[in-house]
Order: sequence, then C-alpha cells, then structure tokens
Amino acid sequence: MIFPFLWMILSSIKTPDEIISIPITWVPSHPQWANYSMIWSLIPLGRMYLNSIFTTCTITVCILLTSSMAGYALAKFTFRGRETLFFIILSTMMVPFFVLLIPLFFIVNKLGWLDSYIGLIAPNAVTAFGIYLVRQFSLGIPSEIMQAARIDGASEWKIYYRIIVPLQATTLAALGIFAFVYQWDSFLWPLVIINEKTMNTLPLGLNMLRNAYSSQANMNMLMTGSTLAVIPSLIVFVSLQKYFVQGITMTGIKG
Amino acid sequence: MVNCKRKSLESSYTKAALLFLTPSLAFFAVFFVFPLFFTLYLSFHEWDMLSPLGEAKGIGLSNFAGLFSDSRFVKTLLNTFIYVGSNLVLMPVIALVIALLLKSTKFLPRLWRLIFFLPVVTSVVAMSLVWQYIFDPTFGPLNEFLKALGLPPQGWTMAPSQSLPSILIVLLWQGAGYYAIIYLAGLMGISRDYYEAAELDGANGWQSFRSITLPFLRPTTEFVLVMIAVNTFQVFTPIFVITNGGPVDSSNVLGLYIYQTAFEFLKMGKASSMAVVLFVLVMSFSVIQIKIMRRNANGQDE
Repeated sequence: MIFPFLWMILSSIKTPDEIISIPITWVPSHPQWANYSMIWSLIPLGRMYLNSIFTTCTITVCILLTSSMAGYALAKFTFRGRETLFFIILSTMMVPFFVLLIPLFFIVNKLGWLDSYIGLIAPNAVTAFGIYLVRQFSLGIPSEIMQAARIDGASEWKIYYRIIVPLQATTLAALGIFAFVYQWDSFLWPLVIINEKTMNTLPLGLNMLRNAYSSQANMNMLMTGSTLAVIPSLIVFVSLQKYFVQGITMTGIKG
Repeated sequence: MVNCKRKSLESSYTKAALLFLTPSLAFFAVFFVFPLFFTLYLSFHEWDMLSPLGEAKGIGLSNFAGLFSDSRFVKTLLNTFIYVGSNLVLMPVIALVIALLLKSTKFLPRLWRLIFFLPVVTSVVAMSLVWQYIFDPTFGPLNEFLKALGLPPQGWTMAPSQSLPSILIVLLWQGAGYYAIIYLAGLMGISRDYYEAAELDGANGWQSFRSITLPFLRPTTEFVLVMIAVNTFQVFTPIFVITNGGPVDSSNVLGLYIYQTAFEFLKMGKASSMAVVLFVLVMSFSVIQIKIMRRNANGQDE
C-alpha cells in the first residue's frame, strides 16, 4: 500500500545512473538530497506552488461561503419550491464534468479568462456537494435560535454570520479540507485552459516536467517533484485527519 | 390581522433566503445550466471552435449515428465498461476487507487508517507518475520483483493486453481507502448487541458476518456502488498521465477520448455527442443501480 510512496521518495534522491541501472537500485548509495534544491531552479516549481496554493485556497473559500449560505437557506427557511430547488442542485452532482467541458472552455475563452487565475477559480467556486453537506447539518440547528435573535432585532445577515456560521464550523472544516484536497490536484480543467507556462499549477507542471525531461535518467527529478507535490496534501490531511474522516462518513451513511 | 403580519414577515425571510442562495444559483446558471444545453446543441452540429459559432454546421443526428462506426469510440466505450464493471466487483470487496481490518485492529489504528487513506489524499498526478515508473518494463521495480521470484517480466502499461489491468490496479490502489472509510463508518453503526446475541446462539464469525454485517451494510454498499460507477465512468487523469490511452487505445476511456476529440482533433460536435452519451450512461447506470437495490431491499423487508 505504501510501496509507491517509498519508491517515490527513494528514487527522488538517486543519481541518474542509479535510475537506469540494471538490475535496479533499490536504495541509493549516495542520497542526492541536492536534488531537492536543484529542482527549484530546473523548473519554475516555486511559481507552480504559488499558483496552486492561491487557486486552491481561493476556490476553497468560495466553496465554503457559497455552501454555507445556500445550505443554511435551504435548511432553515421555508419557501415555495424549496425542496425542488434542493433536488435540482443535488442532481448537478450526477452530471459528468465532460458534459460541461467544451462549453465551459468556450465561455472562459470568450471572457478572456484563458491562462488566468479567475479562469481557474470561477468554474470551481460552487459545489452541490458542499451545499448538500451544509444543508444536512444545518437542519439540526434549532430554529429557536434564529427566532430569538430576530425578536432581539438582529438582521438576517447578522444572524447568519454571528450565530449560524460558528454553529456550522465543524462541517465547514470538513468541507474545507475536502475541497482543498480535491482542488489541489485538479488536472483536467487547468490542462484545458492553461497554456502559459507561468500559470501552471503543480499537477500541470509535473506533467509538463515529465514531457520535457522524457529521458529515463531524469526520473529521479520527476520523483523529487512528485514528492514535493504530495507533501502539502499530506500535511493538511495528517493534521486534520479527524475532520476529514468525519466529512466522508457524513456523506456515506446519512442517505 | 395576525395573518397579514405573518405573511409579510415570511416574505422578508424568503427574500433573505433567496439572497443567500443567489451566488450559488447564479453560478449554476452560468457554469452549469448553460453549458449543459450548449453541449446538447453542439452535439447536433459540426464545429471546430476556431471559426465563429454561427458558422457551426447543423447536421442533425449524424454525430450520434457516426459514433458506432467509429472503431475508436467503440473501443473506448468497451474499455470504459470494463473499468466500471471491474471496479464495481473488486473495489467494494477490497474496501470492505480493509474496513474490517481497520475496525478490528488494536495496534495503532490511526496509523493504519492514515496508510490506507494516503493514496486518496495525495496528488493523483504525482502518484500516477510514480506508478508509471513502477510499471516500467525495463527500469521499474515491479518487473525486478518478478525476476527475483523467477517469473518472466511483463509489459504492464506498455503491453496492449496488460495496459488496462495495470491502470485498474492503480485505480483500485487510489480508491480503496476512500470507500473503506465509508464502510468503516457503516460498520461502526452496527450495534454490538446483535453480535453478542448471535454469539450466544452459537454463530461463528462467518455466520455473523453474513447474517448481521452484510444486511446492515446494504445502504452503505448501495451508496458505494453508485459512487464507484459514477466516478469510474469519468476517470481521466491516471490514464492520461500513465498511458495516454495507449498503446493503441487499449487503456483509453470515454472521458479521455472526448478530451482528445475536442482538443486534439478539434471536433467539438463529435466530442459533444460523446459527452451526451456519457451523460446518459452515467444517469441510467445510477438510476438502475438504485432501483435494483431498492427492489432487493423491499423484497427482503419483513
């Protein structure tokens, strides 16, 4: 199960000769830790990291905001067509992304958003999954809290960000982690709209690295790059494992 | 009088609710509803995206009709079904086994959970590159391992007959942990009383498993199977990165072929028609699966 990770890390510090040696070298004899500093000058890794961090964080924030508001509205307010609306939003999850791909590209192109941050962010800013998650949780918020606040003269907005959001905190944490990890590795969409190398995100950059340095001997650098790409998700996950698992179980058993 | 006041209060609440919903709804209108209909529109046209949209040629159902005489489409469609079918059979079994292990292990359970979940949270692109290296027939550790056992080296991702199974291994590796956690949650929801009662009645482990665990896991399994199908139908990244569909489309799938048709061959109409087919497939699959499961559940309800 963890063999691929071990192999990746071991290979990342091999010399080119060790990569193409036959029989293969399992453990490098002289660990090339320098690979980790070399790679930053070999490819614009720093820029890619920056792009990935910026887009992923922004998308996550957007998702949290929209899911929180929409989930709250769908759970705690009554209005005609509420359930139908919720069902329609939910059904968007069943549509494969490929069905939207070409038109989305067309729209982004027309708006001049190719090779741009907003082009990467906007089509990912809302997710029905997040709305579902928050709505399910928000159903459990006692309406009395809202009513008491209204009697005290609080505006709806104030009720929302002073009372509701703190109550939603754990769900939003789980959702945030989900969204972050999922968006961090987003590949198809950036692949389609990014051509400008400076706008590459990490997954895109790795793929480009593989194409540019296709000679087998450079596998070690590729593994170094992969290791570096894997670390942020690792850190986020290990430190927030509890919320992550909680998030998944929320979707799995509550029908 | 009271009614009048209530109505205006409720409508002001409704207004607030709609305001909360506006960003999401605006998003869905622009980035979902419109593209959905646009794809449908395109599927009846011929367009290369370079010329203006107005010049797209309307060709009725020709795109769809032409699909089945396209051998690449048939091949990728078949492959897609093979991936989905294999995953539907193998993934739940593997995930359930992992979940059972995770549940019963006393030694560092959180560490094991981390280990099995690692493939799910780590970059698919990065790990696909690692797998490509592992599968390398000449320099990869997998063949080296086989050689050490005295077995002949395999072509893996380079061999047309083995590329699909190799990718399948990667997909299972990447997905098992995710579904295992879902099963784990389902398992934890089964009350211990049932197991204790069964033990008192003299049931062994296997009987308990069959009569208590499996039936209680039915809703979880339902969910897992639908998720597996929906996700596998849309698989793209590992195949793009490791084999790019090759050799000779042996590992290619619908999603990747749609991408190639649209962005390498610039045939937007044809790609759109394939997307519509994919859409119908995923929808029908999900609906059928749910119906079957519901029917099974009702048949056994007492």
